[in-house]
Amino acid sequence: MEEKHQNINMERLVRILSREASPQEQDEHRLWLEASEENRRSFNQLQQLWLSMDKTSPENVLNIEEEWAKFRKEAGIINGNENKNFFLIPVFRIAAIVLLLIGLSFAGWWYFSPKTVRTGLAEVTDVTLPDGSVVSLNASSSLRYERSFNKEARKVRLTGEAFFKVTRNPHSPFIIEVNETEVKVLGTSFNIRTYKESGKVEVTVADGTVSFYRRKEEDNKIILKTGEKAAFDRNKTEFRRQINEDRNFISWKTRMMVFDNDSLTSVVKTIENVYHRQIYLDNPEIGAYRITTSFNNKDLETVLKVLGTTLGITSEEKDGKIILKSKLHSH
Amino acid sequence: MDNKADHIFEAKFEEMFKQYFSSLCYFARKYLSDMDSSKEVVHKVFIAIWENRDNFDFEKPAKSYLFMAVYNRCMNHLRDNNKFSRDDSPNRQEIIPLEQDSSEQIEAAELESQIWKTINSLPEKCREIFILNRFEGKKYAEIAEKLHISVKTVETQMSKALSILRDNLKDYLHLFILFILKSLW
Repeated sequence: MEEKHQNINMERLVRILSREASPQEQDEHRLWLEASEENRRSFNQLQQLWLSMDKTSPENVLNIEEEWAKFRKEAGIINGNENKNFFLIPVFRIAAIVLLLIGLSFAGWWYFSPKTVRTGLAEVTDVTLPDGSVVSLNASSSLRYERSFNKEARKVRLTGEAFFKVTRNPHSPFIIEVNETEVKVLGTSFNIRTYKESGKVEVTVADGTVSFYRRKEEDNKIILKTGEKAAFDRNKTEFRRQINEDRNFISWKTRMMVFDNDSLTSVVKTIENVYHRQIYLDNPEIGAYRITTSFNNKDLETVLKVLGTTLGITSEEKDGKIILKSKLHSH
Repeated sequence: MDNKADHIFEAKFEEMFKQYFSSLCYFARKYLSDMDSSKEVVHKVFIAIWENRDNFDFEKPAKSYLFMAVYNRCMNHLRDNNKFSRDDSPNRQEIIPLEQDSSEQIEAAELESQIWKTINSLPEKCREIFILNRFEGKKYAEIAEKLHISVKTVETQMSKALSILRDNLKDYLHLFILFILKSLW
């Protein structure tokens, strides 16, 4: 450090630059400036140096060692010897490939294996599909769908009975395979029921439009609208369309039954479907009895009691089956 | 794999990195306005050189290559972020051709880099005092109180800092003249 430069009072100069100088110091400074060209030049230098720091700030400070460490990490330099490429080392290469294959096959299995939901004898359950559609499965039913469900088409396979509430997606039709038929919709709500022995498939539309056809025979489809229903009879291989008059077609799901001058025979059919029990009429004649009433989420015992009182019949359980008898005859 | 050659290369690379990194960042910041993007750009340039190291020749001067590479990436960055617009909106960046003005930017960046290298090399108390005064605008009396020292000590340290700065930056003297000229306009 060459402080020997004549008369440079660094302390005073710094005070001048940082505006800490007293009036006396300022006068001394002025005199010193006037004394020589060299003094003025020295001061200019220092002043410019001082001012050049206006353009920077401590926030911009860089820690070079830190940045170099960061660089080394990113470039993969370890211990001075750069770890050129981990995957070029044969053992690791093979291990990596094997792991990859295992991972891929698992992913493939996972992706392509279908998912099936089954319900038990007296179980009703809701299944929410990847697109948000909700399928309420009645007892003894199953719903099968691929894991790739949402991608190309929305396809499911149904056995038993289910109520579908399908999210609307015009770009991806929702297709239900049931026995030999298919039901195709874009978004709507409807019930599909299959009958085990006859294999009959019955579709009832609650809301929207549905197309119903035999698999691979989409050209011969029938289109059902709100309030309509159709059944496909495998023996007759035909579709029969009707206006739905069964207001209880989804009672199994809602547990709400409404009867309006309906025969006991049809009432029993509904009750069976809702409560998953088998009900027999001891005397076939009582099947013709008519009843007008409604039940909102009542248990079976209550329902049978009401029927008993209203129609004059008794109910009895034998071997898990329910038998209805006319009171008149039970004496 | 020639380990010895690798070692030598790596040592030279490290030297180059440490020598130019900060000035390259300050240079990039003149175009990109924020330090993080600037650091990122400079890192990317070094990574690119490293990944292509088989083709890198240390015999040729690295400085101009490095600044040119950083400049190009900055321009690409600005272009990608649509900073250039046709109209005369205030956000419009001036496209500065490399030949004309960037040598000034390069030297200014090197100056800034050297300033901080010097400040960081000051003895700790001296550095702290200098930063409090020059960058945080604190008066000598305030600094003295804060650090529990006398005003005279503050004065002495400030003068020491300025001397060291002047000695380290005398190579950039001509820049100071430029600054004088610029401030006159």
